[in-house]
Amino acid sequence: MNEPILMSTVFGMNLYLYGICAAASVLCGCLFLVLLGRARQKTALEGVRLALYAIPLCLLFSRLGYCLVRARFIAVDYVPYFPIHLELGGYSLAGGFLGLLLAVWLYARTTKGSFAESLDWVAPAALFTLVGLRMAESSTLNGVGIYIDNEMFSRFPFAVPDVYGEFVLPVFFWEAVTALVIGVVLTIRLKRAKGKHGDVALTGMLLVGLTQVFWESLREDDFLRFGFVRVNQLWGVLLAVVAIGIWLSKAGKKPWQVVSIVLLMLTCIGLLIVIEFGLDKLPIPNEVLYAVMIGALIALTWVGLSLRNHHKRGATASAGNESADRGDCDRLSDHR
Amino acid sequence: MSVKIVWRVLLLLLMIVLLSVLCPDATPLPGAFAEANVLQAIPVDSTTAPKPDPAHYLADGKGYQDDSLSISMESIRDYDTNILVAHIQVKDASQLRTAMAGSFGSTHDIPGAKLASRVNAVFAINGDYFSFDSTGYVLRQGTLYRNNPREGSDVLLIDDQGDFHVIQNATTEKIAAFTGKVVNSFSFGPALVVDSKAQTIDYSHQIASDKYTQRMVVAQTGPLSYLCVATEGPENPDSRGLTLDETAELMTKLGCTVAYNLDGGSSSTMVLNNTKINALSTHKVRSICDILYFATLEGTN
Repeated sequence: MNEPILMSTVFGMNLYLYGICAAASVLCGCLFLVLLGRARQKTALEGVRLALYAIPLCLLFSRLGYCLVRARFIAVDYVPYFPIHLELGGYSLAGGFLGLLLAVWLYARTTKGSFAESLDWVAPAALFTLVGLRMAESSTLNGVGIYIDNEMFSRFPFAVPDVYGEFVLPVFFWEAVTALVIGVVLTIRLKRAKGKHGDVALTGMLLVGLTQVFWESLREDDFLRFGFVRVNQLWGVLLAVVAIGIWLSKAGKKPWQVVSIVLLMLTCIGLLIVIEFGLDKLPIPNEVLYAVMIGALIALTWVGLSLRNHHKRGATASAGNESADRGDCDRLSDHR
Repeated sequence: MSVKIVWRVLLLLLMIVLLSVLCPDATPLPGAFAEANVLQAIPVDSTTAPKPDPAHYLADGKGYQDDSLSISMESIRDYDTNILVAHIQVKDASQLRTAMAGSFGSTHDIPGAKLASRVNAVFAINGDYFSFDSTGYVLRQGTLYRNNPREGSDVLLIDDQGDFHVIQNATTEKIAAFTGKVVNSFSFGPALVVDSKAQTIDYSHQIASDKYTQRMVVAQTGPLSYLCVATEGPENPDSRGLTLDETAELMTKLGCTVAYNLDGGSSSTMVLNNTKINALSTHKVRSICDILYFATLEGTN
């Protein structure tokens, strides 16, 4: 981990290694989007069109997200017009996600396509872009976590030396690995998609959201926060709740089942909150608290994926019924 | 005869040249006639302080002693609480310093012991956690970062002589009216003791002022003489913690002329020899964004 590395100056603007890596990641993400599009009978131009919506909107919203969260500080501590001084401060992952949603919505609207289907198409590419963005953090002081004092673990991938030579957890690397795995899972699901449109994107939201709650907890860098609340954890839980909520609303469960699921979700979320605030307060070892946190996250993942599969089975069954009905109708018309 | 004189003059000149080579500058020679070693002040900026000699830490682990810095730790029990008191005497005001976990504006936090080690602190306590809030008057190591005092709050100013000055109900105007040269400031509070008198705590402005909790206080007892006090809290067995009123009373009993409350609760961090020494029974360490620390003048750079 180093101070940001200046590579060159272009038209008076500093060009950092992080910026170059971030741009390369976005480019790779766009190429992957085009490739995925071809597999779904979309032209390369459609992929480029979506990317052209997504890049500026993600940049704009991620910057806005950062500035909104830090607004109180920006008003006091920084120069006027801070938001357009892109070299100052940072960006927000949650804001970038909102920008991506808006870009996909605009694309779907202008092409008269399905928003959910387009989101499914974009999700794996977005995840692969995230892999690069995470890895790019290795050229900055960010993306690091707790100090690793145990010599046995003072080596990559458990630890990397920081600018002072002390070993810290490379959270950026583990977040990149997580994004890569989720990206691969989503790509496979996209190819084998049998459920309703939007399931791939919702699966991505669920998995990214819940894994982010854990990794964010380990971060000890310039993470965004409201007081003691970490913004990305809040965003992660929100993503999961939205995904589970959508599947729950479509699962056709009985009222008592809905209540049970909601109660289970609330219990898990409550547990996550207690653990996060208890990490430096509760007299329980942090290893135990993290184990409970992982348990709660797995429970939420299980709830979400069960509802998705139930919803998918329902969709497949209804699709089967529809085709059966259609077959009956065809036979009837043959009789006539 | 004249040849002899020439040779002797030449020999004398040669000896003088040799002398000048052997003593190339005017530095006094060490030994019986050498002047006493003059300790240099540490620059008032973010320069890392000299690294202390480990041999100067007391064998019982309860302090540090060299020609420029004296620290002795004392454990007392009062208010049903274990209390750790550090008595500190420095030779020069530049030895009382502050450090930040990251550059100003970042939200970077770090365990206090790590930060203390990074800046070669002999002894350190947590500061006011200025990155948590956008209010406050933040001046560190001579650089003003923020001038936005919180309404009704007390600000602690530490001048270039190492003296503490409290601006009560601080405003930008009141701080600007201070005529001394401020090197460091803290914006947490409240002031517990001013002019050796315990202050009445304004409960409406303070966070958790009537709560029994861990407290961290920095105080001045005389010229270049300080106290740092860490009280345990209800998280620690056998300790109930102190309210701010009790803390003010305690600081008066300890003989402070000025005492100022810093960030407490789980942020309370007291570090000696790069190890956290307060409230150890919880085994928990909250990362913090700043420390106030004492450095030696005698160490190696």
